[in-house]
Amino acid sequence: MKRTVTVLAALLFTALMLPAASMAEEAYPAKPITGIVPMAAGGSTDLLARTVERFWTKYSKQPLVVVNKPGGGGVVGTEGVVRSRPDGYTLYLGYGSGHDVVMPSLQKMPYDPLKDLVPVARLSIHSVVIVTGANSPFNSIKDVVAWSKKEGKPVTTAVSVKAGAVDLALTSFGKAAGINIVTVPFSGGAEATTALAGGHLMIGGGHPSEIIPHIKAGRFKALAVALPQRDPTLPDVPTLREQGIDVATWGSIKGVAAPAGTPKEVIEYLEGTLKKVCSDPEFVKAMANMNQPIMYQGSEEFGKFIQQATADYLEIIKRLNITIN
Amino acid sequence: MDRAERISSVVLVVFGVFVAAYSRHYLKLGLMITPDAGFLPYGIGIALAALGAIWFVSTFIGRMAREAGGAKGGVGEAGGESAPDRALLLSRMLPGVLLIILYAWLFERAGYPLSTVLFMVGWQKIVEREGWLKTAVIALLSAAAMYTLFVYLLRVYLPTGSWFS
Amino acid sequence: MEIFSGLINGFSIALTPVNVLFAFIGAILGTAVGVLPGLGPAATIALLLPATYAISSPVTAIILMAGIFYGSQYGGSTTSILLNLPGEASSVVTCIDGYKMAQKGRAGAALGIAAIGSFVAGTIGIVGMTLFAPKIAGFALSFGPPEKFSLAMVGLLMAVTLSSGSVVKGLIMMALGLLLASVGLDPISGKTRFAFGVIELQGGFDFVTLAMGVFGLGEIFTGLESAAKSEIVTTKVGQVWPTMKDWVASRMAILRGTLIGFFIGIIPGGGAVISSLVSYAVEKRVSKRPEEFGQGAIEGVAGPESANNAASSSSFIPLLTLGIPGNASIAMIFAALMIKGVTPGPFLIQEHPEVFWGVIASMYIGNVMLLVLNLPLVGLWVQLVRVPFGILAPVIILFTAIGSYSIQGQVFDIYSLIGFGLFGYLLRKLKFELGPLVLAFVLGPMIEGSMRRSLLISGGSFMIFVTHPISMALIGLFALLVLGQVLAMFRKKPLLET
Repeated sequence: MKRTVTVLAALLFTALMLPAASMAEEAYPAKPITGIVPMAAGGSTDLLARTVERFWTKYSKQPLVVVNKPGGGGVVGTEGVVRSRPDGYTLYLGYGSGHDVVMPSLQKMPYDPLKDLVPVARLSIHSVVIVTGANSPFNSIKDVVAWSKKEGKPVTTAVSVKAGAVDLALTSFGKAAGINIVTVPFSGGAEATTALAGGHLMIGGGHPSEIIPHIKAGRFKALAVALPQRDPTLPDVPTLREQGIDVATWGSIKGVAAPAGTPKEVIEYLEGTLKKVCSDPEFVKAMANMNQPIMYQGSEEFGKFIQQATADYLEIIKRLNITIN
Repeated sequence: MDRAERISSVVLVVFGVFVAAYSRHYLKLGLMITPDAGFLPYGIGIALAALGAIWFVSTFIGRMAREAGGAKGGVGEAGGESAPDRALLLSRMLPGVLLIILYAWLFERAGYPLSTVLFMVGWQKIVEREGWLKTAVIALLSAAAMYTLFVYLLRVYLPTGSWFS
Repeated sequence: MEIFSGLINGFSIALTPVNVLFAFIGAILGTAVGVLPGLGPAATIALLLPATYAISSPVTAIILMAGIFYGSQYGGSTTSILLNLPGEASSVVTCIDGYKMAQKGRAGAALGIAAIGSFVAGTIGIVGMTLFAPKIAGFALSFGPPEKFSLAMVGLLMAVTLSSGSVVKGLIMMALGLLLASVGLDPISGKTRFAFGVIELQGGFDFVTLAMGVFGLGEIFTGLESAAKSEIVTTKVGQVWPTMKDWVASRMAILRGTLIGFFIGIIPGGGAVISSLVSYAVEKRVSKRPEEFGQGAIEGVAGPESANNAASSSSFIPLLTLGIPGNASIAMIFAALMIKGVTPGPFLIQEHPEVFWGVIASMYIGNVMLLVLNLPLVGLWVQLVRVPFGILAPVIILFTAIGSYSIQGQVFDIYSLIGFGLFGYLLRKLKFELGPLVLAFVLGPMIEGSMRRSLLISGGSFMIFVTHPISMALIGLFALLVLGQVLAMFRKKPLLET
């Protein structure tokens, strides 16, 4: 009896080992690539990632699989990528967001977004737009400033996450204009814009893809854009600088990153494929539909851009004396 | 059971105090007007300590001391309020818990098929004291079922074992 | 009248062979997902999202995903009743009386009533959607932080009514539930709480891991320790169908649950859970035999199950009419629509009427399919309890372990599961009730977050909770209920008894 069992066990063991052993070394990519989005589903980053996912298979033999890992304002999911194996099968979609370029200058992070991640390509930039409810008495940034100075009351502002790009932009606006802005953070852009749409706060900040539908529905009025120059998706909205407030931020940058140590050939393959996706006419149409501009940059340029953006954010934080309280 | 309740209630009081202290010191309370991260946990810590104290006192007075072991309805009442049976605790529950811990430890290292099989074999042999044939059948079927369900149907990623790659 | 023509158009789309097929697949998958502990509809929809890119018509894709979503509400009650294992937050309440009924051999009746109640509620909910969708949408928007706080507090109070034992122990459970919920990153201050340097704790605990551990594993550990070779359900399988008496008792519960679920479900975030809680509390309060609740009162299953199904129907309303997703599964459906170039929102009815009406029509069909699927299955499920403990228990352990792992792909979640299991075992031994713990955990973030946001908005003034009319109404309700509880306590229930 015992011998039979031993033989059975040995056979079983072998049978189970076979699948693992049969994975020979193939050229990259040999299996599906996981793209981690450290934000909730349905948000602007998630939509961008899924649109890329959809067109990816046209240009690569292995699919890109989007996985949401929200939590910690984006830190939890990103950390997961940082600690994964740098073999090119785990990527971070959404690199350049608030928690990568803004948060490190405000609080301690469990990893270094500049050193622990390798930039692969930039896909888009989600600028920060300041909006208010359609029924609100404000029609321009000047109105907001004037009201606050006259009434002496704080301006309640909806922002997506604490210490994110939107929070930073609005806090900077408050400091530069010399008024009291109270930022109320939510758990993501969708929740923040919903609260604003319900009229529970005076103004709010969001990305074009989140707020343009509300503008079209007649629920929001756009007051300003926090970019150095006007946003192509909202050409009629003046920038903060045009209205006399010296604040310009890069908004939330959306790119792709891989863990540090990922081989160069892998990065090159990825940036090349992403470039093809960004040039695809159907992709262009889909992005336009979602009000997300396509702003492709290859790995090296993107790396420099991220460094620059982080420095720019640090400069604003220092100049206006911004801390998270 | 009274003794267990007394010890537990004291533990709870200590725990509550710890939570309150940690919240106050590390997380900051903020002002009543704008509560900070530690505000709610601080309140909870104090509440737990207070409730624990009431619980402790109640094990001496009132109905609880008089009615030992009267089971009432509600979620989680499994019936049978006797003190745990030492023998069963050691021969079934402890190995069971250890097996699950072992399963978790092996999961990513040995891969899910092997871990599942080993877990099932361990369970059937140690916890249930089944014969080898029945054990082998159950173990193989379980592993197959997990595969079909999670990997094939639901396309969930399960690790195939870092030891083997 | 355009509603009528829209609906006719919708049915013509929903009844095409392709769409019927996908509705069916969605229903089956949804039921399976609901039955399986660990995997939820949101995760399943996420997995299927890439597959939907290949489906050319957006209507078909949404029909599939919607089917999975409301299908899972049907399946979720199965494990709650049979194994005391809630698959979703909204099924926790069903465990209370459902499992007791199963232990008395009445699993079939419970499952049957749950299925039928779900069907009635789902259908009425869809009718409500059809007739009132655009008008009610504004209602969803009016729930800002103060209103959400008040609503969640009412929900929390309802959770207290779930416990039929000692009030002190119930409060301890609630406090612990709130504490567990605060582990992880605090969205308002940006600080991490109680993580003690452990990376995996930064995201906090997951409901599934907590519920599976405390209910499922806890039950198994207790079973291991209490008998040498036992069955998980020690009584015989009684009748398989609900009796006439069950029907009569459940009728009103189903209707009330539907109404409660429909309105509360529209509110983004927490709709289904709170509605199941409120429904249970309402049933207990209007019942002529409230002492039966907690012992296997069928209204305690009929009401909450209807409520959570009505809520899952009405949670589509903010999505389709405003473009606002109310929970994780709906957010996935939102993403799918956006990717297909269909922007959900007030213009959806005008720009893509076939999507709006097609989905609604398909929901009618889907609910019928689910009823037809689930009723015969009741007989099958009931046999499940006959499987010997020695096989059932380890299989449940495997399912819940792999299920927990699959949420984030971390082994840490399996360890948490075990930890919660031991915790659940301890709680049972010390005669605590698990319901308030789990429910406080679910409601915690909403309560704390909404309160702090409200205070930020009001500049520190607590008056905001009463100056907003909806919030004031809810606070008033809360006060009345507390008063009622206190009076009841002084009249008969002792404070500290077992």
